[in-house]
Amino acid sequence: MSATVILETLRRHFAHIAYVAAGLLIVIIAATMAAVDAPAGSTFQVFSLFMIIAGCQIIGPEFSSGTLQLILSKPIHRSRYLLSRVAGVVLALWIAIALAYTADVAARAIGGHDIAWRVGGGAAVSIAAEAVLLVSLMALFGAFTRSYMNVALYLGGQILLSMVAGVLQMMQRMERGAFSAFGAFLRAHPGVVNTIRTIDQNLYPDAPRIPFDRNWLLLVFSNAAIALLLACVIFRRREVPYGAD
Amino acid sequence: MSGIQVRALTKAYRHLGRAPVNVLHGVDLEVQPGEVVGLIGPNGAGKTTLMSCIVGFLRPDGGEVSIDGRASDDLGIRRRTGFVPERMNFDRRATGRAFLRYMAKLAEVPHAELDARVDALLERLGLANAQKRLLSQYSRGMLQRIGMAQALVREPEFLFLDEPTSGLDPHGVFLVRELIAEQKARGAAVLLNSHQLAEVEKVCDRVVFLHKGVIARAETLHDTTRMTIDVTLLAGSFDPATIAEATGLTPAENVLSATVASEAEIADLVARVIGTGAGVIDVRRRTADLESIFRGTA
Repeated sequence: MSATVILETLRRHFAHIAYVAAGLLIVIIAATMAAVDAPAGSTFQVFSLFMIIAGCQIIGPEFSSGTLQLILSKPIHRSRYLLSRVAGVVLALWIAIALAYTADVAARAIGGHDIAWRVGGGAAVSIAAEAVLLVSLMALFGAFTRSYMNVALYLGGQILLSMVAGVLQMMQRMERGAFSAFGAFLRAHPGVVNTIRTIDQNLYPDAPRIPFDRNWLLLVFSNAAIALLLACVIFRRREVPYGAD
Repeated sequence: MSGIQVRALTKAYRHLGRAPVNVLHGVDLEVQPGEVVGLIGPNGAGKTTLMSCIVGFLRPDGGEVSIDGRASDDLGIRRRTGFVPERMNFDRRATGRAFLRYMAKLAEVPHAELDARVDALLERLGLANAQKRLLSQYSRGMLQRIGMAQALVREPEFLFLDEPTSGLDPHGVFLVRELIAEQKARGAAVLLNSHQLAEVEKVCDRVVFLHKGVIARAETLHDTTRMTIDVTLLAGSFDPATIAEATGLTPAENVLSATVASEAEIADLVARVIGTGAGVIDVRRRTADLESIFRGTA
């Protein structure tokens, strides 16, 4: 990891109007929801979009703008640069999560409501872990695409996987009609649907039902590690022509 | 082996479902320390691809690229390399100083020297007064100059410049010219890719003309060991046979061309010509006419 790159990544976020505005909005939402005693941790439901906005900046846009060529002409290993960028974005997100959690706790204290430390803290830890996975996937998709294609792949994959899983589950139940043979096949081979659902759950896991779910955290961090490993392997081999776009 | 070495370099671009586009067809190139080599050629000749392969942004399909005997993407070589892109692109919300400090840190400039080095470069490039301004407020020329500054932040031994004077005003052009001369004097090997032939002619020792992925021609512009001179004789004042006897050279029409190694040799040749009774109108060193080379008429 390079502290220089991590700090530069943080600087870019703090200097970006979209990050500052989205961060402020989330803090306001957290405080407002806590003031009306909404369930602890419910603020973090709105974090996904914020994480995508912050995470999409990794590699792809740098490739297209030509910034990457400038960086890679310096003595920094590609994997080290990629991992440091990921760490910087994750830190920027964790800071926003910490601020939202603080706003939630403060608003509850001021409003005289009970502070559900464990539930709220669990939700904060879950969203922080999810941020690691999302940013790692953005880095993976950005390692072989240009511009903001990483967002398109991330969202496209999410939509496609849940759609395919839903359609296959529906077909699995069909015993009559045009798709009955296919339904019989899916019933005989439940692994097909399970595989799609497993891939979906691994890439886009639902939040855990209990706070501090150790298995869920293990799943998220393992998948993030695999995504980062693949991203490093791809990025190390990637050609970076200057004036690419 | 020192310097930049390129041997039989080939490169093709491959796109899914399309035939490969061969861009470089066995390019040989060498840039020695203390030498400035210009890369010229029409659009699509492969100049950018060649420079990308040398700097290590692209992987060659065949042949060999080495800098000081090592691969160009070796981190040890990167520490000794400077690169100026044609268009300087970076986060525009950074100030000029912050950008340069970041690049200096990436270049592993020792912490104790970092600020002094950044200050010196900002001063040298005429950006000291604009160092606190955001890059978004920089003009094209200023961006070009700060791009040059980041390449020089660690006094590189190998410098790659892609159109360094594009977008610069005359003052900026003079500055870049001076900086290139300074790098050459320091012993850096400089490869310059430029369309501005007059500029190339002024700063380069050698120029290679790349055409359709091959080096069609290489010219030495400022060779201090060998030079070609043209001695123009007064028509009717000389006998070609006498001149040939005295100098060992036969004039073509009324011009006597010779390759010499020093000014003393020029004086000796002219003295021998005058000794035959011939009138000498002009003695001129022959320089490569880049425009003619570029047009393919030289």
